Amino acid sequence: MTDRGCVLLIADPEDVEADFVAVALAERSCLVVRIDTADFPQRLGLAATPGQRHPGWLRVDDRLVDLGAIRAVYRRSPGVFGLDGEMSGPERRFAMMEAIQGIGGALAGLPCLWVNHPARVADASYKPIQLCAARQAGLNVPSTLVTNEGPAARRFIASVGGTAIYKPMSPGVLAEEGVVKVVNTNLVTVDLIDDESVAKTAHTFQQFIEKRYDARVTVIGDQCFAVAIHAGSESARIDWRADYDALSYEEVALPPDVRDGIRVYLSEVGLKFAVFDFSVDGNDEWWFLEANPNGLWAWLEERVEIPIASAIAEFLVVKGSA
Amino acid sequence: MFPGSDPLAPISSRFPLSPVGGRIPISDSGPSASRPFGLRFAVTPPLRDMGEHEKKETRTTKTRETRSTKDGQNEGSTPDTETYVEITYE
Repeated sequence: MTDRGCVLLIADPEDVEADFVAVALAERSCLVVRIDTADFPQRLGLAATPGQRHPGWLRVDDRLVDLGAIRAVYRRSPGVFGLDGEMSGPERRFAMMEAIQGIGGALAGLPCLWVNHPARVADASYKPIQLCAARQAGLNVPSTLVTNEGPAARRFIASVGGTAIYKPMSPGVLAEEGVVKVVNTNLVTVDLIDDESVAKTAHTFQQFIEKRYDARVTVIGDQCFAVAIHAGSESARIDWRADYDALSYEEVALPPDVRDGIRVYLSEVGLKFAVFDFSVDGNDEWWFLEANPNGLWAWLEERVEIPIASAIAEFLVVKGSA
Repeated sequence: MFPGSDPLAPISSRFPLSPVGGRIPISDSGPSASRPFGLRFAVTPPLRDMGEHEKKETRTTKTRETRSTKDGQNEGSTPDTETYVEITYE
């Protein structure tokens, strides 16, 4: 990173992964500016001059950030713009669209390194796109059906042995009755399927992999950090997120063919970073489940002591200067 | 149709939103009679122990000296801002 360059972090203030990377960048004496798009337009100001020699400025409270000095951007999941609540619905919609085009476009158009570019993240977040890209990259992909038709769901479940998993394609989070709930992966059988509720929206059913363990592979550039996640309870064996207390972790070697597939996958979808989830069966076959371009890794860095934050910071500094 | 309301429209127009982005507003509403199949598996999630840590934000602002362009015109001062976050674990 040159003495004039800086790294822009775009993240929610509570984002732990962004905290880790901020510290790792500071250890490299790198200039870091952290913003959250939720602060726009209240605390975050913009004076962009797209297409001009100098791209303009961001104002973060009373500080100015030269957009031309940004060499790399590390983007997590920033917040939705904090628009004036006094505006009417139509006014807010207009303001939202202008903000998306304005600050979103001004930042997304910066000719610098992005980890990851928001357009690539958005496209790569679609689970069906992930499955297609994984297959094309040579990775093992479980049989999957996306449907809103109950009879098709029953036929699929029967075809994979009478038991499959249901999993949401989105983060599967809803907030009702005053509490936040999540939809984890669950085993389903033919008799559970009812046509009326399946018809309400798209539902994803997938072949259940009888696995020895799950693996989470965090990838930045060409570096891969593979961690085996061993489940110690029945619910964790179906979905390890359902029972964190029952999990144990260890660093695991990544098979060369899986590493190659990951490299091809990232190249195809245009990502510099992603967190891959696999199930590893009794024959040591690695089955691709998903690749999250905003995936979580900080807790694994703590548990297994692998230098993911350092690798991301190094990538931002070195590639941002290239 | 308003620009951006088409879910299959170019997704770059959704910055900073993405299919996984955004906070979800809490609702007091309960399950309806038209509940999708997948929501029968909705549960209150367990908390993941991240360890307790405090964040201490430290800000430093640097301002470079005024520079001049080749034709002698004043280019003006250009502030650089340095921000970093310190994290300590308890």
